[in-house]
Amino acid sequence: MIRAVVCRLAYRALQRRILQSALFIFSIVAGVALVVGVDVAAESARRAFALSAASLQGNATHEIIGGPSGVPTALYRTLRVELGIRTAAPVVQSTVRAGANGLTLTLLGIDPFAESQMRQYLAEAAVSGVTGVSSQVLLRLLTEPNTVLVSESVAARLGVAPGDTFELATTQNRRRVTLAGTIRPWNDLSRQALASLVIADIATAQEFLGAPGVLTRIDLILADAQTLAHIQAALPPGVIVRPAESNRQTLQQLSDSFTLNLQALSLLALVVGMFLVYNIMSFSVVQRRVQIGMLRAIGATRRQLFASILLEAFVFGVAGTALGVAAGYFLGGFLVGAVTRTITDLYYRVEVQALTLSTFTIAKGVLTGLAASVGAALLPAVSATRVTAASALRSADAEQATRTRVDVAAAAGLAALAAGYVLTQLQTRSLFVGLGALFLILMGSILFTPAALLLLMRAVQPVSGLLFGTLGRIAPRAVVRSLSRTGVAVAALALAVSVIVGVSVMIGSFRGTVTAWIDGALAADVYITAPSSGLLETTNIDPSLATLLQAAPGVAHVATARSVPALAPDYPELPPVNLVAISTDPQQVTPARRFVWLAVEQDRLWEAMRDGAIIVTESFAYRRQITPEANTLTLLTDQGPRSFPIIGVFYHYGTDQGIVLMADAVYRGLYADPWVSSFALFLSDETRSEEVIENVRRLVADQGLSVQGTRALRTEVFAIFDRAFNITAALRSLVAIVAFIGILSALMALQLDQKRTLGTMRALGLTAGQLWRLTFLVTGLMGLAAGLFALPIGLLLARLLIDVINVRAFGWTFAYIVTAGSLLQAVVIALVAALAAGVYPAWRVARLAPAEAIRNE
Amino acid sequence: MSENQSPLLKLHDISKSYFEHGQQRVVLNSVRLAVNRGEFVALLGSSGSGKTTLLNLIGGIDTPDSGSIVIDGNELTRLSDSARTRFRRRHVGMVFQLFNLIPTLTVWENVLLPAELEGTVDSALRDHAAALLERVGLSDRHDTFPDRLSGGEQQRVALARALAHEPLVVLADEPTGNLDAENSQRVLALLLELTREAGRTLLMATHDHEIARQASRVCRLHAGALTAQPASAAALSTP
Repeated sequence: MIRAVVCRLAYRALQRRILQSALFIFSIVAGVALVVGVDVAAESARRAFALSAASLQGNATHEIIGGPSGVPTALYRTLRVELGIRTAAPVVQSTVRAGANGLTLTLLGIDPFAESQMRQYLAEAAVSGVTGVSSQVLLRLLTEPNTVLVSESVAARLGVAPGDTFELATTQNRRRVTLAGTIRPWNDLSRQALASLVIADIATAQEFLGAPGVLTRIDLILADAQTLAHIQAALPPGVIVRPAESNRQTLQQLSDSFTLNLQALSLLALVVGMFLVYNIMSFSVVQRRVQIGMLRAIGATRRQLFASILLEAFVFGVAGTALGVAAGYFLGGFLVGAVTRTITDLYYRVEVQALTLSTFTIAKGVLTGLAASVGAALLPAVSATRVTAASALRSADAEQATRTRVDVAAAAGLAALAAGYVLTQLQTRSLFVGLGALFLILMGSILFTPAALLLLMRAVQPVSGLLFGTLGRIAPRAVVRSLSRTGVAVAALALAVSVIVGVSVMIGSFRGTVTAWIDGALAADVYITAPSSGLLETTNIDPSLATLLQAAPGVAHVATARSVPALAPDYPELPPVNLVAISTDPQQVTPARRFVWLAVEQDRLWEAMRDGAIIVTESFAYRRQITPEANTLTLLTDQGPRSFPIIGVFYHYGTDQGIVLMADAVYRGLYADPWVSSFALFLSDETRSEEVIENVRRLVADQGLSVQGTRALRTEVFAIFDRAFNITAALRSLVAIVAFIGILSALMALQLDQKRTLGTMRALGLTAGQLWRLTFLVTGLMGLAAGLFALPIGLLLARLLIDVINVRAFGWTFAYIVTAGSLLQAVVIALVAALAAGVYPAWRVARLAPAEAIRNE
Repeated sequence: MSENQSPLLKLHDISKSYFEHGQQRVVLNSVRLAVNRGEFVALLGSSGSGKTTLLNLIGGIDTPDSGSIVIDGNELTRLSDSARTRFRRRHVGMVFQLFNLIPTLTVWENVLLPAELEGTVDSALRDHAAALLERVGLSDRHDTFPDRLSGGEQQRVALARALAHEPLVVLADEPTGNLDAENSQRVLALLLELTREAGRTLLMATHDHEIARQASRVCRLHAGALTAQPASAAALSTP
């Protein structure tokens, strides 16, 4: 056991190393805060979505859904009357804009009398101050057309009170509705659930959405399999019954890869933090070598010393972790906006009302923080136990031991690289395995850093000697001599910069590929779309608008597209398919479209599609393992399941869930769906596009449609792209900050380590200015080394991110684009970070009193 | 000291004190000393008497609270830190008890260091440095790093380093304090021989009366005050 005196000695040593202690704690705080912050943001978004999905789903165990044509209202009657199922509730659901500010809400059309068992918030909420939904209010909802209910908070946001009217709008309709009453949530869950709902009677909703007789779904509470079988037998073609949970689960899966990648990046910050902790603890042991040697000489056991070092790390770890979890919660508050924005942009609409700090997140933060603290201190603790009284006074022994560890680290690096390589070769699509391989390869490369630093400094010495004279000869040797400090600091900085290189090259490559793709993809001159409310939400535009547009001056040709979620029974675990029905030859709309493979001649593509063939995107094919051999897709149509031959897979970066392109004529023949989702206009004179856009905007002003030229659409696509990577870029910067602190702490350690040597040099005539130069030479060499090492590691990282991680996470491949500028930038970042980190140590060294420094210890 | 010869080194009313736990501790109190060219002055005193502090002040690596230090007409106490540093590397040679060789420089580079920092290395200086290393018996160890040398060898390199740039004054702080008897004798003999041959002025802090016996003059530091004694008297009075 640790004796009190050993603890006392450790405590006194800490008192003398306040800055080091602070850096230790900061390293853990930064790492844990990032891990917790990203988790809080992702978890809050996930929970908000789950709550709003649960609120819409209520107590339903199953749901009946249809394809683009929805579920006929007649089926509800069949269930209740013919099958005698009382626990069924019809639902009409759509995204609407409300009030003068166009607040985006979900319109939920319900049968108030069928709701009591289904959705708790109606039964238990206080409507207009009266507990329970009063029959008077319900009667109003049923009997008075255009009446709705909203929660008190939504009413406040809309600035309306019961009895007031406000506007509801969709792309094809706009109407004033009366607020029949407000719902008061009774707890946080119901508050979240009601935060974006506007509730109407089913008939009001159907009429408003222009879809009389069509339901979005029928919610069911089913107790036995027999009833389920009866229902299945009664379903018309194109309609299925499925567990209610599956919709939410498949939707949530959409954003899983996105959040998993963020979590991996945050974990990397913790790894950089671990490097720092290792650096600080090993320096602390080196500093106390003499004391440890003395303790060993007078009877302290190895175990006592080992435990005391670990205890020290644990105590700091506890402090750092506690602060890190708290800081992470606040960081989560900052990150959640960016995360939800990206999820809304790319996957589904989500609005976070409150941050979620789950027990799991806290436990994860605490465990990773403590494990990182104690884990990083393990090696220094072991080295403390190896100190003997005899060796303690020989400082060269410590560095000799470091040289041995350099070899061990290089060997471990080789093993990690080999293990990582093996993982990349495994026949799996697991993103976890991919990230594991990435981690191993990154760590393996980093473990080589000290050995590479040794070689580089030897190589650089003649040159730096020639350029900077004696100081130029001293600097690389000083780096090598204190390899235990410099090696780890350079490794930490190289790791951070390689993450910057890797992520930058990946983002740059992706951006370059998307630029090339979008330039080819946007062949029309003007696009008319409904404001998007989520990947799988359908927006309906009246098709007769096409005639109006075709007649507009300057418009040569109008192409339409219909985007709907379609059910693919062969892939029940995946979300519905994004089916896009196009009215025009895709080669005319997108002449530069590139294919992964195409089974027919390009000029025969449209002909084949009009005959019923489809083409799909690369990510769609990846997720469903579609190949030139496995090339059919079954979709549930209004006429029952239909199989379609897939004749091509094309590159597309609009959605990572992929899309299916079908000829509009084929689609209309299979689905009773009159609507369109967007128009593409080809102009007779491109130079007049601004004029035509203004004219078209006036034409569609009432429908709330978005009219954009190619350039504006391109800008919007890149705005979404940049927003998606904002958070990645922010995390990348945070990793760099942690590394900067690392190199600062290493330089401070180095300065303490070389205090006597520097003092002697001052005594022998080194001026303060020369001391500044020497310090900057040392830090510059470390920065340069980190920058140079980061290049190959970063490029390798980029390769893995592009070829393994992105394929497994999103299912798309893109070109590997490396620019000389991005590489130079990495070296400059490393150099500037190191030089900037050197300012404070250099300032301290310059103030060093030589008499004090060379005083006999 | 002859009347027409001005002293190379002159200390006038030098005082220095430190603060420890809020208390002022006077280390040197109005110390006066004049040393001629080529003289060997031994500074005797017990541990903590202020010998090292006095040498540090003369070397310009520390500054006095009051008083003046003049070396060869240059008033050190009026110079800036940078000017003092330049003066030191041109005109002062230092030998420390713990050798203080720069671990990242070879023997040869250590010897040339002050001149290298000054930027005055030429073939004459190189020849001189090589001759010095020859004299201290380390001509075959030019490229060796200090951690490969014994204590005695390290101190002999330090001697060569202190003399290579031909300083006006050599300050030696307990140069044999960390060596065994045999190495002590060898290092001391070399130090005296080399400084005498070159006519260098040597100030050596020591508490070894045998060493002090060889000095041309002995000064004793006690309670912050310096008292001059003839060498023989110093040798006789044990503290």
